[in-house]
Amino acid sequence: MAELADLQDQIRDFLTKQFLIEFGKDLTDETDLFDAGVIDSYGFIDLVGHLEKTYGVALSDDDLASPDMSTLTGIARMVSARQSGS
Amino acid sequence: MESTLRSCRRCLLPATVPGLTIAESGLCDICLVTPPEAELAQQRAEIRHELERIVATHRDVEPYACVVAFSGGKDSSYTLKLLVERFQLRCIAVTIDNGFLSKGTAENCKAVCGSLGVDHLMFTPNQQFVRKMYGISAVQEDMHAPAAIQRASSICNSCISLINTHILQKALELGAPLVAGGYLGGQLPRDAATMSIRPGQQARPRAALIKRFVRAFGDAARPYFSLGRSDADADREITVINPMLGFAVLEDEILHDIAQLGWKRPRDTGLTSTNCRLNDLGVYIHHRRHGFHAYAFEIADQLRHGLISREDATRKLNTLPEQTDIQWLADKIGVSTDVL
Ligand SMILES: [Zn+2]
Repeated sequence: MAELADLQDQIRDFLTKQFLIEFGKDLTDETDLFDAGVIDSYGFIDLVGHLEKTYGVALSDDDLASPDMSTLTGIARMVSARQSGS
Repeated sequence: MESTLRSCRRCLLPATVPGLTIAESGLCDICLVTPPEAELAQQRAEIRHELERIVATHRDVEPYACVVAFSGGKDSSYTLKLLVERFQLRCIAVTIDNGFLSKGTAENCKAVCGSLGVDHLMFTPNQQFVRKMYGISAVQEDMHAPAAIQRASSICNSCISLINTHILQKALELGAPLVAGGYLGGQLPRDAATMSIRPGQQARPRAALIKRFVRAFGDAARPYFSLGRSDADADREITVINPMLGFAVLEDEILHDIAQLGWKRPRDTGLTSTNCRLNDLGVYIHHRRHGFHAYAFEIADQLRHGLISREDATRKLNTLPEQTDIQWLADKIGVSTDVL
């Protein structure tokens, strides 16, 4: 299981490449990526598919509707929590 | 080492695509991780298996098991044929008339639905609103997520959002458990071949979309992009299926099969659409702005799956719309060609 900070870095790399964005400029780890227009409904499918495949987690409907899923920090926290089975 | 080649030797994606690298071997990073054909065939077989499983539980649903986004173009015509003939689903085909349907599209819709014995609805959204939406989508750069430039032009992306929402609204209204589209690989994630969604689950991206569109197009946009007017709607499960992702059908085979249903190729759409005249304007602007064809990813995916010949792919990628058509179209949506 990856440490939270490593996990967050891996997910940052995925988001950067997949969504053609750069963190550090206008976007921070706490930016709401839906409001920022980075992740649309197709992007969300891509993201969830990637997380489930790469980290072997199953995300429930409630997980997907959680505010955590909208920021980099939140996504990493969510994946970490599901990996440890909580 | 990076190659100095201008496009991937396998899928023809050009080096101008943001974030794409072409390796010394001449292959782009997507081709480098694309599995061999045997594995792709296996993936398609799994998609078909999953489609069969989903469909089997909905065959008896009345009046409609499936609302089909039916543009009247070649791919959605073929999709409708698959759903009716192979999957034996009770379908209703829904076409959105955006005011730019090619001559012959209404006849194609009638012929295909008539041959397949399918009910058909034509929805014509307020044309003042639609033209405004297209006009703003044509000039405003940040209407869509940055990655959306890989799927389609900005004009098309706005239109697809409206169509997808309308199809989901119809499914909620008619109590249909399935919605289907005729999207091809490259137009959407492969994970999207079958997706179970609850409108409530997609609430966050949906709310962000509505906010952005209302800001850009005004309050009139809200009803076209909102879903689920009640809590019950938000919990209804709808399964989205994109059957084409499970089949490797050559473009020529598609054209041949739908010709048998009475479908005729329109002459007024340009090379990358078979139902919409406005498509060319989207393609033109996309190329000017981003330096690659709006259909580059779709064509690349078809090349990787061996569904289109290199000649046809090259011809589509290298044929850009005529200036005179562009002016006429831009005029129709109130956009000055100076800003294009
Ligand atoms: Zn390639």
